[in-house]
Amino acid sequence: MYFSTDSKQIPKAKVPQGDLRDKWSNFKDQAKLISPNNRNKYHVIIVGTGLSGASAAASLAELGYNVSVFCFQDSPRRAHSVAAQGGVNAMKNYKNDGDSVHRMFYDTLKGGDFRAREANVYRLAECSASLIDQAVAQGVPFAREYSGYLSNRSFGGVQVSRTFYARGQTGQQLLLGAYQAMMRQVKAKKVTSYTRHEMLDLVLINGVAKGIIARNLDTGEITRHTANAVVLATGGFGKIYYLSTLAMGCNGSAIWRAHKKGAWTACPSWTQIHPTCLPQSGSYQSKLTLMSESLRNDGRIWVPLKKNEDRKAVDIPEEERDYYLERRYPSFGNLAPRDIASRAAKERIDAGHGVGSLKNAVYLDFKDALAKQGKAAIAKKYGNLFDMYEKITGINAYKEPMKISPAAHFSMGGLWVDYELSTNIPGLFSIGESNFSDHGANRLGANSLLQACVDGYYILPQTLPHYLAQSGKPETINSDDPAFLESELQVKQQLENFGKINGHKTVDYFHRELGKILYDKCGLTRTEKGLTLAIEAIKNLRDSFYKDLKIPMKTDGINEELEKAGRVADYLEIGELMCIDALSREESCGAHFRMEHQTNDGEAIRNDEEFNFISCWQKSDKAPVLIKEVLNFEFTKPTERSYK
Amino acid sequence: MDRSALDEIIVSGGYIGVNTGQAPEANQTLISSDTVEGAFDAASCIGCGACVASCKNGSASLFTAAKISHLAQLPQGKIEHHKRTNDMVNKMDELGFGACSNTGACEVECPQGISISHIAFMNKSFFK
Ligand SMILES: Cc1cc2nc3c(=O)[nH]c(=O)nc-3n(C[C@H](O)[C@H](O)[C@H](O)COP(=O)(O)OP(=O)(O)OC[C@H]3O[C@@H](n4cnc5c(N)ncnc54)[C@H](O)[C@@H]3O)c2cc1C
Ligand code: SF4
Repeated sequence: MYFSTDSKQIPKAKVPQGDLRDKWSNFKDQAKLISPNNRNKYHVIIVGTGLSGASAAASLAELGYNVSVFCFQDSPRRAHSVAAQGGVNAMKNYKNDGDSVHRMFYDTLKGGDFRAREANVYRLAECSASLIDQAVAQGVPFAREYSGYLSNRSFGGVQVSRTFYARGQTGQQLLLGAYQAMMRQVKAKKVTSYTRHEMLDLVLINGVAKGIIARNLDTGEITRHTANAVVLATGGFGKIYYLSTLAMGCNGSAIWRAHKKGAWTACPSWTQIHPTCLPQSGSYQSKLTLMSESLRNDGRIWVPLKKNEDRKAVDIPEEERDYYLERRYPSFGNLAPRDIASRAAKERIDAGHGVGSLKNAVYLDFKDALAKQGKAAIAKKYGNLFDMYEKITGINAYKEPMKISPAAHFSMGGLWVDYELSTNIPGLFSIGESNFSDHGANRLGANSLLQACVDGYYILPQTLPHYLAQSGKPETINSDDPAFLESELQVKQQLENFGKINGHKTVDYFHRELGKILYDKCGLTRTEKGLTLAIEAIKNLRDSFYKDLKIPMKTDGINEELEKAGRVADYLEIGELMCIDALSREESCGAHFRMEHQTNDGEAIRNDEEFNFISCWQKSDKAPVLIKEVLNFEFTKPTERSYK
Repeated sequence: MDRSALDEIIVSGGYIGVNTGQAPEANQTLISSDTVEGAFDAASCIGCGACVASCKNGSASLFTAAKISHLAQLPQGKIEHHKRTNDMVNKMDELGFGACSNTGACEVECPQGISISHIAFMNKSFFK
């Protein structure tokens, strides 16, 4: 058996009483507070300076808490949130098109295939409007109409316009707002920023999170940091697939090291594979360029009807094109949610209809939109994306269709958190993409910038003080405590051991191999047989990693190979748990598609009777232990997630 | 390139002084599309430091001016404009960045096409 189940442990979700609409207010009404003059006696560590970490740091510091923030980049403003182009969702109903908090809540819950907690999702929608207000006040230059009002557009999986955007730089502009707010608190001496520092361990004293061990990536120095609470805001681990839209440094190490100290990991196999990326062109390429999903508003996706078609796209007549999304999902068409769009693309590619030199892509065609709206209108909306596309591929998308392909993009899974964003380890919180919370089994476009911001600006600043207030008088933690010394020793030993292996293969080799296994067997589609093979293959790969890894010996100073070794060592463990997670869930839901569970026309069959729960994985010396948080649908009725 | 000095310039004043929770409804202040686009041109600076590296004086003027100009063009950023400019320019000097002699090298190297006209704007605001 690859895992065991513990049905005695029942995770405490801590959802407040009351009607869905009142739960968050009820929480705030009853939360314990700390008086302003006592707040500076508390110290909080936040690992990560992306949207979630930076917004949390700024907001907690404004309240009077002392905060230390850590990131591995050379400036907090370079956290991976900068890469987000498309937009951020918020319920403003500026278009008068029938949007409401309830509708946004329902879209998100349904988008996630009813595998998230109702109360969390509702709160995300409820807090969304304030985020736009806050960002505008900070100077984020969202797009405006000529009249001066804010503009918005629609994204995949919804039928209203609720996505706000700042050219193709929404993530960067939102992050600058949060970063600047945080730097204002650096000036106020409430925030201390540690750049080029990587967290390598979480330290618990008597089962409570009290600090971290970090490594200075420039000098190699290992340092101990104490705090009254620790927040992980370390982003997603989709880079585990190697080929992905994420940058090389993105990692799962912070959450995995917390997992090894007892934090539950929830639904780690739920990964979003984004449908609109530029296809891989060579085998050493690892970062795939994402083309904004907004293109699907006007672009039509198709493949040639004929297999192994070798005519050029423009030479293929209309009646020999298969607009498969419009065919299969007439009401959502090209705006079908990401998991569905990606899977449909894979299905056509696997059936021999793929296009491009590696036959691994589909067309995204603007011909009709150009004819209808004119080149100027299309250029105004997507000009920078068309330019970027031409720069990379040499193809002018005003003249012929773009070629796009699915790639790993977002981790719905992550550390399990309760309603208060606390993990099961007291004092350890997780926010942003690093947690499993609001997106269920599939995230809607433009909802993750939102979630990162809402977690950091609005939720954590209420729930973390509630925890501190309950945990008694502020205590000073001694960094010479045996728990810190032991963690530090282990971290140092691990680093030294990597250097001693002295084999023949680079870290990247192992990362690429792992990525291939996962993409093939734990990617867009999964089967029992494939997953079982994958688990064995990952175990073998891990054995060979510890026998045949080659990295430079030195542990002081800059050593990128050593950094990567630590991350890939963790990936080799996370990957196995992902496969076990996918194997244990014998249903198809959201991004998790088990081939054994589909209808005759290839739609997912969810199994609410047996799998209406969040899988929380607990580390054990033997096989991982599955603990179930059963989902309670009090206010909605899970329906079949149809976009037909 | 050590970018921590650029962070320090931002710390000295590169923000609007608003706390979480204070913000009014976003559409309460209308901002013309042209104004926002103008602010955006400056806001699109990615903090790469290529301008400093390309400058024979080692000046961080383009970076600093881009932030000052981004915030000053927006109504919500105007209020602190003069203090912000003084604080940021003084910080830049204090950190030992050179003075700008208008060679224009930075504009050529800047990957985001930030215009040196922002530097003129910054200087005008500073001397006021
Ligand atoms: C190409 C791309 C485009 C996207 N477009 C959109 C979009 O249009 N709309 C949308 O809503 N979402 C989008 N997303 C998703 C969204 O950007 C992310 O989910 C979100 O920004 C995550 O923010 P975060 O704060 O959780 O983490 P991040 O911004 O990833 O920040 C992680 C932080 O943790 C730090 N860190 C990580 N590990 C460690 C460690 N061990 N030690 C120290 N520090 C560590 C990093 O240095 C960094 O500061 C996109 C994602 C990608 C990759
Ligand atoms: S070169 Fe341009 S983008 Fe880079 S820091 Fe200077 S002004 Fe900003």
